[in-house]
Amino acid sequence: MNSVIGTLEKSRLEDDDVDDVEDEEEEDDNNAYINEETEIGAEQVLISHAPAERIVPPLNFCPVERFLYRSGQPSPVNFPFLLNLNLKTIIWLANEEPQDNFIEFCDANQIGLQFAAINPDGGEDDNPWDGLTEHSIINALKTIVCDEHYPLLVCCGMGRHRTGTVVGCLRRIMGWNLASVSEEYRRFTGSRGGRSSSSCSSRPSTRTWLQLTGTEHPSGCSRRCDKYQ
Amino acid sequence: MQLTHYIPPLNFSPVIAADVSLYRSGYPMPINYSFIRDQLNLQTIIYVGDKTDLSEEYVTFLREQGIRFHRIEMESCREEHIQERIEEVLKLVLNVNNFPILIHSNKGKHRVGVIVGIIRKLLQGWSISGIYQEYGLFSGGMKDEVDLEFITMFETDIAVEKDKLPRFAKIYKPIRGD
Repeated sequence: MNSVIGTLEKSRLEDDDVDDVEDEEEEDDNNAYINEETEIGAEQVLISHAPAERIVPPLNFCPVERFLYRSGQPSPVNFPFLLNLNLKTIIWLANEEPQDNFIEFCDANQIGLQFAAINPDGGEDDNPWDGLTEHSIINALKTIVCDEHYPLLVCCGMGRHRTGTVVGCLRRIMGWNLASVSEEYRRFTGSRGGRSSSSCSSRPSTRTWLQLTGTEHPSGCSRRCDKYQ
Repeated sequence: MQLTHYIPPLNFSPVIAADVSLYRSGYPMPINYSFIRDQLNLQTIIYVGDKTDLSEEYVTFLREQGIRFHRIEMESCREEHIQERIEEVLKLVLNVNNFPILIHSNKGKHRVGVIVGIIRKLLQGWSISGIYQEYGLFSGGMKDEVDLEFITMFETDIAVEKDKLPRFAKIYKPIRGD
């Protein structure tokens, strides 16, 4: 899989380096397809089937911005997929350690794994289901706004609430209006049609809303949740 | 907090966010134009849908921004000429000169979902389960079985120029002979 990309990139680089004229000659030698209409030699590739080797994205994987991605915790079946992204950094948004094989994967591929502990001072009373602290969000955002960490993956257990909160805060910084931020947040928490059982948990926690908006929790939100129950 | 409030189109998201940018969304409205203008820097918009006439505002916006607009007529994946229509979209997506591209339908759920699913499968080699999950994210959990079946079964036979392939497309199969 990587070798295919390698070939592609290499061939593109070569194409950039040499003159078009040389390029054509080279392709003629290879009996490449010639476009008769323009009489310019242009090598064609055929698109027909999916690549034989399939890659499996992690749960709730989605691009956020250029070279910035979000997802749930990757498992070994997702590692070939992650290699394709050429990640430099992964932000892990949880108190608990990720699975050992995930840590080993990062070490083996020189991917910096950054722990953004949710509540480092929580001690034994700490509830892993709590939202993020302001401190941990700011930490994550500091990494996200610095392009030396890219390509970058932000992830948590399921890729829903914690990841969604950090991405939501990033969207606010980018000037997105709140309804759009909320639409994106809910896309990953599954609050829309046909998922009434999970709609309650998809309501951002009060703390999350405070972080996203700097305002109070909209009262309409809890009413809507009641309705679905 | 800055005063500018950008409103991306409904169901907006990046699809490819690497060497080239490909976005998906629902139908852009005038309130979305400032976002598209300031944050996406589009070269091409592909509309897959049934609406034949564009609003005056949309035409003006496209002209002012110098965005090339392609309408690919598509009702659903059950219709007769669907194969050719999808191939048209793929040819646009397989030309690096067309990026950044936004593909939109009306709501950004099913039609765009099918196109993105086919791109994931054919050009990126995603597993079918990953494709279904992504389709579900944008359709709000409502899975159209016919759409998913269509993505799974879709095969094609189109030739495109190697030099213009965007890097995310994992195809390298030169045609020899003739």
